[in-house]
Amino acid sequence: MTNVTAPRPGFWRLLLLLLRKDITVELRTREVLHTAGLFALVLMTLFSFAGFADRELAATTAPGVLWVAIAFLGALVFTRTFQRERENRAMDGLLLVPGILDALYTSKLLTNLLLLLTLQALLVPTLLLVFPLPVQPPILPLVALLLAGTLGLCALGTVLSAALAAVRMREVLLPLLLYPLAIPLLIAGVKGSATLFDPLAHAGHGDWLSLMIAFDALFLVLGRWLFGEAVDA
Amino acid sequence: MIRTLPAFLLALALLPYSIAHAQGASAPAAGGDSPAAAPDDTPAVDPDPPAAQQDSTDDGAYTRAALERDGFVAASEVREGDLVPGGPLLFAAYLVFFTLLLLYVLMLVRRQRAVATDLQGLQRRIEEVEDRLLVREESGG
Amino acid sequence: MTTPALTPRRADWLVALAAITMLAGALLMGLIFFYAPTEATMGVVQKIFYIHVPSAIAGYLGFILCCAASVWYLLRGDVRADVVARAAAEVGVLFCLGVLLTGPIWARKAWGTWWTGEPRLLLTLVLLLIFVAYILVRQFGGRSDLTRKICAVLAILGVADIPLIRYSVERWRGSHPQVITGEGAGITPEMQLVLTTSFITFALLFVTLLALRVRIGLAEEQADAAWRAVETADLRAEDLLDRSHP
Repeated sequence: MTNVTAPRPGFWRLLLLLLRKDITVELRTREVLHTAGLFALVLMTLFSFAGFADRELAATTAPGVLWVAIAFLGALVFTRTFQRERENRAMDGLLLVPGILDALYTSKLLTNLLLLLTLQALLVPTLLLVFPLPVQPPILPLVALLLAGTLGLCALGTVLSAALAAVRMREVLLPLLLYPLAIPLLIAGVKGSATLFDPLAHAGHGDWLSLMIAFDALFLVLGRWLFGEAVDA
Repeated sequence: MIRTLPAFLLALALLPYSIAHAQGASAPAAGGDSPAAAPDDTPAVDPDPPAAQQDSTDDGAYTRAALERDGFVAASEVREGDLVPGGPLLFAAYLVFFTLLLLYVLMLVRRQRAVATDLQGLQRRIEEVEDRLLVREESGG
Repeated sequence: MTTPALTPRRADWLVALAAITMLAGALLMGLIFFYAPTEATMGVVQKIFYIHVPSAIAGYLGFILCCAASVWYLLRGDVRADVVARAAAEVGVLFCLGVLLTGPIWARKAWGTWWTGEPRLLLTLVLLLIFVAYILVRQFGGRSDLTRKICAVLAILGVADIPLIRYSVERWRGSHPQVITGEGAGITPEMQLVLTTSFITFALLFVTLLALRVRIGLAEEQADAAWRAVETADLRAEDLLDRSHP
């Protein structure tokens, strides 16, 4: 891109470059993974001390704890999504690249998704270890729920973090906005995984999964449109 | 105009107060409160008593009887099963609603004042800038 | 050389509107407390219904209007649309608060408990939270274009979320109890008359409050624009004078 007459970089090339940048930065500093990973462990310890991990309660509290923890981690990750871009006004430079919005949104979304999924790879085993569940939850449906839920959370979180990047008090405002908006996802996550954790709960995580997918679709489309508006300001 | 709104809302809020209080189960009817609110609202209110009385249930009759009388309401007049007293709840609901409205209108009044103050400042500034430009023009031209 | 005094213009139509709203309010209170029959099972508490239901509708109307104005603002960049969005959000929050504070009082009598997980209550609560956060963003952001855009984004996200929240809280409750069935069925003509009056009054109240707030908002925007114009004019004039007389 040093040559002015160079052809416009395509979507995939931009996406790859942006993703590589974000992932390299994260791997070098481990800023998010180390702090948020430790936060996940602290949360689990806290919940077990709060009595949620008792043998009788575990099956009913574990889904709630899981999704509350995911929501907390999400807020932690999203507040940092655009921090680096806002510092030194790197964002202004990025936005000069023609047709970057699609790639920028997708790359930020994927980075957030990767971070959150990595954190969940730590969170879920810890949860299963701390909470004595009556049955071992089936892996595939659980992964499907986590994936769909995290995707929706990231679709919402990415646009919110882009919008709030330049606002005072964004660390407080982001969770304040994220959690109420993400309530359908959280309810679907809690109820869906409850059917997996408890042998007595009637099956039916499929409905919750489709609710999540509807949420994902809506907020991916809206997110992409509103991301352009929020970043452009 | 906006300044008369709070007073009006206050008067309206007093109306449910007097009525709800008068209906409070086995509580002394607060006759003293009714006249306070009444003068403000009676012109607009047309109770049309005959129609209302014909259709009212026992409870309505009780309500009306309790309303029209000053002094105490006997416990025997309270409907059976009326464990949760309705009057105070009704009063609370309307009080809350009117308080909210009042607070919002007061907020609007405050904002309006702030804009007015801002406009005054703006006017001073405009005059200042104009004066300065005139002085410069005269001295320069 | 003097400029005409900068005082807000009187809006006669707004005075008339407010007066009509006040009269309608007084009439409504009279109807509710002297005309409407007392309901058989709920007793006098049923009269909360006449402010609870119209408030709920006014609240939702405010949020949907806020969303519509926000879309308009994003598409056209019209600051007036943003002013309307902000006003609608505030009025929506006001009515929403009214619903959520009168609702538990109704529930105390009807169901014996202050708070239930009734889906409509939950949906209203979630919407209230979203739009209170919206107002917070407005407060912290000030009147900048950035804040406008952010808030437009938030309003659209919030209103788009309504069907999903509604569906999820209903499913969350399992079989959802439609407890309030007073609408339509089992309503006497007198109650219907009062309810209709109530809807009209609340529509008037909504428009009045919205108009007052929009008027203040527009004045604020115009004052901001005037300040900017004055300061730029000052700077440019000084610049020109300095250049002509070094």
